[in-house]
Amino acid sequence: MEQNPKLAFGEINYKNLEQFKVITQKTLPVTYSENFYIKILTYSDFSTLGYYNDIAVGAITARIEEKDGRKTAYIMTFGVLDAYRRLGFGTQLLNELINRIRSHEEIRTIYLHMWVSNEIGFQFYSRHGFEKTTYKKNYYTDIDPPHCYILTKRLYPDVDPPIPYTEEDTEKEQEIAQQ
Amino acid sequence: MKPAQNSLNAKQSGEFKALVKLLDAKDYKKGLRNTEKLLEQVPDNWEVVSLKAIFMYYNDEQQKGLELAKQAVFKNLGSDFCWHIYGLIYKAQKNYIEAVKCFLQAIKKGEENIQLERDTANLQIHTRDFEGNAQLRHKILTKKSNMIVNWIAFIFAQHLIGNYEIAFKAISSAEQLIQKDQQNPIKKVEMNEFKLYQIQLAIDAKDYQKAKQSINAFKNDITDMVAYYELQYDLYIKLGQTQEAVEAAKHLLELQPQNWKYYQLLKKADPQFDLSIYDNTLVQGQLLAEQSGDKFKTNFLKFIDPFFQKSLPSLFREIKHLYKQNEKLDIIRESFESYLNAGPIQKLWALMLLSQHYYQIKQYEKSLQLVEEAITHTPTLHELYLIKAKALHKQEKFKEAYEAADRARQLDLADRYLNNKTIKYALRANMVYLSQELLRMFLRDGSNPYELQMIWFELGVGRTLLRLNYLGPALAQFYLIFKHYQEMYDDQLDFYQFSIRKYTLRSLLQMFDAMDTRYSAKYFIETAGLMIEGLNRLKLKQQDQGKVEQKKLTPKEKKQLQKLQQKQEEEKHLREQFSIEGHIYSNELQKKFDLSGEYLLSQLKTEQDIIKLQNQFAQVLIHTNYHNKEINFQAFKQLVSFYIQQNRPLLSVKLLNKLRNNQTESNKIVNHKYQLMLIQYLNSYKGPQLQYVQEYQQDLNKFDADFWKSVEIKSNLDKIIKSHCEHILQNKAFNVQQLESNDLEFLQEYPNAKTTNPFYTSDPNLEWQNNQISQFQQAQQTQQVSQQ
Repeated sequence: MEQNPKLAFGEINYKNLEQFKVITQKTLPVTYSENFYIKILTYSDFSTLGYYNDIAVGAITARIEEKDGRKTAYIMTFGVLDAYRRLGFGTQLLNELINRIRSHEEIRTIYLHMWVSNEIGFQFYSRHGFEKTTYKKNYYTDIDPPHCYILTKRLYPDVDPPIPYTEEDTEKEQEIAQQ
Repeated sequence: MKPAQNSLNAKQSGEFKALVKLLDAKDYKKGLRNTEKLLEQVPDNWEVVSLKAIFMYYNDEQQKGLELAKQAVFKNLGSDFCWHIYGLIYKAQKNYIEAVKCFLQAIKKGEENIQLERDTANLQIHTRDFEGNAQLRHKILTKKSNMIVNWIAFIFAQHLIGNYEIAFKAISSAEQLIQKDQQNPIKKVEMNEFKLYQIQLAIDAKDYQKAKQSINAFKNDITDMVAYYELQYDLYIKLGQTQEAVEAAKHLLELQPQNWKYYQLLKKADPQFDLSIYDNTLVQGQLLAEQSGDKFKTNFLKFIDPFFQKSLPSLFREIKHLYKQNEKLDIIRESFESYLNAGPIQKLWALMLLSQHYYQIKQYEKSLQLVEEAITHTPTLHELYLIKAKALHKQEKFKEAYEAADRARQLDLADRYLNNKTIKYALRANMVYLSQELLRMFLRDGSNPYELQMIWFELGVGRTLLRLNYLGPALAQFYLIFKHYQEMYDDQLDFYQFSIRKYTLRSLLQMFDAMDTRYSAKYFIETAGLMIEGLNRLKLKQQDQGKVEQKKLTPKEKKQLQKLQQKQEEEKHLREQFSIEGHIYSNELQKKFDLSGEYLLSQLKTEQDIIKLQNQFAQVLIHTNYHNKEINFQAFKQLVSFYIQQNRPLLSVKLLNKLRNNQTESNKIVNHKYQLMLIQYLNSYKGPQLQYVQEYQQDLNKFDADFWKSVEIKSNLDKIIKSHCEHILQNKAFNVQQLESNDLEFLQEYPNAKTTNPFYTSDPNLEWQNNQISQFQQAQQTQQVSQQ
């Protein structure tokens, strides 16, 4: 086994979209619609496939959002195939994304949704400077428990202030929205 | 072209010249109109009549045009003009032999036209009339000896008829002329070709001393060193100078270390030569075959390890040749297995190679199991799905094989190879329409496989349609392929003068070889076999229809006939619904290439028509030979009943030899049956060519009994064939229709057997196919959206 195997990165386009689909289906518990995959193609700046020995083994996708007048990056999907875990590929994919985002100084944070029971995931993210910023009840409809955390990473923690921890309930929000 | 000399006044002569210009400008409509006007004034001028003839020919009155041109010639035998026109029509018809005769007459009757002489000489090369070519080239040279191209053409012509002395003399003159001609200096690459050609010429002339001198003298003029050392090798082998031949081969290997052919040349020159000094994967991989036991084991592991470390999925290709040696199989398997517990990539390659290993030793179930494991491990690697498709295909699971191949294709839509592979599996699963859709993805807009002469595709489509018993469209595909092969040859006509002008005479000689053996190609042999088979089926169909028409029908039979017609209607409906006959192409295109076979079938109304077309294919097929015995046999066996029915004793003898030469372990029993049929026919032959046949006549019962003593009957098919042979011996009819089996091999042998196999009756997979088509179309729509 070679030391510190390196990933190569390549864009997701309509010709290799199926590879991204396969990786997502094998690594994430959520089922996405066809439309979601087509949408991914429009976020190509912050999305990438990770290749190990010319084989696609992982992918990360993100889009830029505006929150309270500030720009933030949202990680939509992130996964590495089972057989290729513990080789540092996740870190390499995440660092690649962070590097791309850092070239846009107006983007100050990266956030994502993580299922509450994903202990291993949390360990990984907290190693990379993510914090629990929101506890979101009833976020998922197809997994149990249906709750998630929002994890946020401040890209410039020395400059930007900390983010307060909040709690939300998706069901209640929807009820309010319906009224 | 020279205008007519007699009986025209000045004005008419001017009009005549204008007509000739219209002919050159290909304005045939106006040409015909104006010719007719002129003819009103001079109805007896046969040269004007000639012009009318060729204009008619190009205005879609081919037969009448040819007739008229012939008439004009006979009315005015002395006119070079009439002969010239007559020849032009023959040339347009691609009847080059007749065209040459006419042009020679025109030249003889005095037409001073060096262009005509040159064209005629090129046509003579095309018809391989090398004697005639040499005479004409000589004539041209005497007229214009200051043109270097005429010298080169003359040298080449002398070469072709074996007049080496004259060729060499002419070369000295040509060289002098080249040196003198400062205005058009010869290019370096042309000089290179010319010098190489001279060495080749000396070798062909068996003047090896001259060849040797030339090799030394010309080295500085030669830039194509591969060709140079190949000639050198050839020469030294002929001279028996082993050491020099070895040196030449070594030079070749310096230039092309990955070319296995040159290692073989080296070994041929010196069988003792130790190739292991070449430390590259090609040689080391090949040398593994010569090792055994522990030494093999050590070296095999040493050989495969870099592939695992550097991750090269091509390993299996390098070691496939070792599978001829059974004693190596366990070591190979164990070596692969030793990587199962290394890193993830190593495990992946190990699983993949093991799957290929079991495929190679025909354990398809095990192969599938391993490739499934590999897919679970790394679902993004498209190679795995192709391995899966291959194994499924061997198990005759054609639907699943297509689905696996299509999965590979989807993973990389930019990969043309995956697309083409998927097309092949789609065709095997009887999806003609889908295969056309897939093909279109890699064709430029507006182009089509027929214009592009994509024989592999046409053959696949034809084979599928024949399997589904759509005779018209199937035969149309095979006929198109046949035409491509003719076009391929006729396209050569443009290259003779070009090659002479560019000094690429060696390439031209290679083209001669390639063209003269062009039919001994896999695709052609398969096509011809299938065509003859399809035409046999057409014959049977027509006979059946004839019987039905002649008979007075009982009410019961009438009912049956109605049922049959109803079934045919339904089938037609299905065909249209699933566009099996190629409706992705426009109506014009379908008509242009006769994709429905309608026109072809209209030419095959009688049994005689069918036999005539079969004969066209048979005549070519019988002289072919390909290096795959199975492919040869599958085609040649179609000729057996044809030659017997046609009562062709000599061809039957030739065919018998061909069957014997193409016997393999797997076709042995079927092959015997056909040999038996041929010998039985030859035994009964008593005609004028008896003396040639006698040698092959023998005691049939003994021949058959001896054979069955030597083989083991394994399958149901073997049993049926044995019983078939008994019928042949007793001259009794063998009822194929009553046979039943599901086995594909069986159906290949007895396509008219009753069967439960889907592919030989109507296809029960239509629903699945329809599903695949709509899935494909949906995916395409999404892709179009995503591309925007």
